[in-house]
Amino acid sequence: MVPDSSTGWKAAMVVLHAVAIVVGLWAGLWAYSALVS
Amino acid sequence: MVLAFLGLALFVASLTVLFLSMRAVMDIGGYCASGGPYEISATCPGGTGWAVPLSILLGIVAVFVYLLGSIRLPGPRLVLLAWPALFLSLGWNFWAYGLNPPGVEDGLAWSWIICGVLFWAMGGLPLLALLSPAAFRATFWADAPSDSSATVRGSFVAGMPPVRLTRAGRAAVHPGTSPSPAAADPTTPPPPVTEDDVAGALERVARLYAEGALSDDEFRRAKARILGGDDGS
Repeated sequence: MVPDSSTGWKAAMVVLHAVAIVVGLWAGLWAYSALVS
Repeated sequence: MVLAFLGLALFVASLTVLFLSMRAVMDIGGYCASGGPYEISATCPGGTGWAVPLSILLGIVAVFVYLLGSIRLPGPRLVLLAWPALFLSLGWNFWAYGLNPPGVEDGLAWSWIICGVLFWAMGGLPLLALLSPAAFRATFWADAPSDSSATVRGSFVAGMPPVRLTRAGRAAVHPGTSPSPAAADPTTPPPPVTEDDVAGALERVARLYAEGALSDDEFRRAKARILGGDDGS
């Protein structure tokens, strides 16, 4: 599967970024509550 | 793609830990210490003593991981926003605690407000560059990078337009079309273009497009140039 500039790829990358930000926020909150208490 | 995901998630997680750890330290006056042979007047709350430096280190690593993972992919390009994200979010803490310092009934903590001004200036001033449409697009978005055998990108920076190759440059990229001495002479008319030339060029462009080496726009312009002698721009 080769990356291109099709609409499908663009949408997939936007979703990937959005999910990564949400997962990162969750991971950060979890790490802080677990490690800094 | 996995690297881009991991890099971005790791950066956001690191920034979250740093943001919350900073608030925890500011809650006890803004400074603390842990470990070492000295008598400590303010012990760092919980694990902030090592969470802060660790989150900074991981955040820097995450930026490079994200850069590596996203450099060849189309889509959002957020790496340049790491700097504003860091300084604007930490500057928010300085403002919040400077305007309402813990343990003070009525008053301002000017030292923190000054830090807030500095942090917001450091994080916010670079965002003024986004007023330029080209910089805005280069910061937030990149099309699929072309393969080096098809198009030479103008810059390492994502979103920069591809370099328009000269005749000699095209010959270097496509060895089968090396220019003759006559072609280099602007007074000599170019040799007539045959249908086979056009068909062959169209096939090559279509193949590069199918392989993902050309974006939609690059493919459209290349096709227009082959068929009409104009690049369509």
